[in-house]
Amino acid sequence: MREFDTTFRDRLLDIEKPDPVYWQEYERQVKAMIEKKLTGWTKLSHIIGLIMGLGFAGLFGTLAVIVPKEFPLWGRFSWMLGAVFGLVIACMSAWTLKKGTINLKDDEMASAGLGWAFIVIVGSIVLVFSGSLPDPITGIHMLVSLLFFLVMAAVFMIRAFIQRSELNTREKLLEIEYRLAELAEQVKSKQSQ
Amino acid sequence: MTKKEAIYYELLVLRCRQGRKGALEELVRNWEKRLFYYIHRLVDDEQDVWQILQETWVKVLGGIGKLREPRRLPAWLYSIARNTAISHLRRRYNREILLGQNEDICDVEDDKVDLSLEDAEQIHYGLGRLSLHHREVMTLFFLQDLRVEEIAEVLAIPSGTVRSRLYYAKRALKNILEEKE
Repeated sequence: MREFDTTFRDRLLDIEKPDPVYWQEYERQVKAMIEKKLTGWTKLSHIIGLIMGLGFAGLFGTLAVIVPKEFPLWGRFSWMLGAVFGLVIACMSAWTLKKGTINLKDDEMASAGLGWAFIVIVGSIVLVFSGSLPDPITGIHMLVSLLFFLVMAAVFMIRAFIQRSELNTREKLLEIEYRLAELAEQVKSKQSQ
Repeated sequence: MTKKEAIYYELLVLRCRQGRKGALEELVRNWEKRLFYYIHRLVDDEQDVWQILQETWVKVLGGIGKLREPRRLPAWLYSIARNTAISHLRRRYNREILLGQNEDICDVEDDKVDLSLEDAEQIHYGLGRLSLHHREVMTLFFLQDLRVEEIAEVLAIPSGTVRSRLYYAKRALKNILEEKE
């Protein structure tokens, strides 16, 4: 089948002279596809994320400041964490809106990390309140529910990390294999000379 | 396909699955000229060709995560381009596209016909004058990315039919070029 070298293909391909107007439009569309530009819905979801993040930050921040002195320190700390979490969400949404594109690789890990952080914050608040509740049974119910969400978030995050690690390991192995194949080709060509 | 090429395709597909912009760009830049040339041999109107190529990339970028065997990347790309072109033509002209029509099959060696490959422009000219199914198989042959078995997979026909079609297409191309001279 391959009785000629690839330069023939290149010469054949070079004969085709595309219309520059169509070419430019195609380039623009493909660039948008590769960059995963924000569409109407994704833009809206990030605007909602920005507003909610700022709202949470404001609410939890205010609560952390205005609570009476008798309020447990852990509770105050949880409100502060909630405020920080809200700010992080707001910053991430604002940054994504500003750049106008989505990065699948980083965004997946960020969402896993944020999910985990959210559960930890909610968990801390639940822990603080469950001890001070007058009915211990309700407190236990809250803790069991918390445990369920904590496990779910941990599974989600560990899975994301494992998948990422597997892909990274596979990539490194393939890079080594590729390098070896390259070296084998070089050795072969030197031997044939 | 050499071992190095196969590893390269696997690496590229893996990086594309991770959504890396650089890998996606590399995939598009490496293949757009070849796919454009192939699609243009099936479809005359250049505006349609660009639209089909764009649709092809939408399908490729959306489906690359599901590609089970990354080493089959070239055949997979040509298959998507071909199916997109056929669907486009069906939609646009509301008619059946006769790319896979029946033909007489005979046992032939595809390299029995000697073709001079010095002048790419002559070949390009000749391709334009071949029948559609001969043009398609010859284009895939000249683009050099696929073995006979892979061409058969792209065209959804048996390998024997590809060999036979190649033989007759080469003969027809040779006649066209001789007549021109």
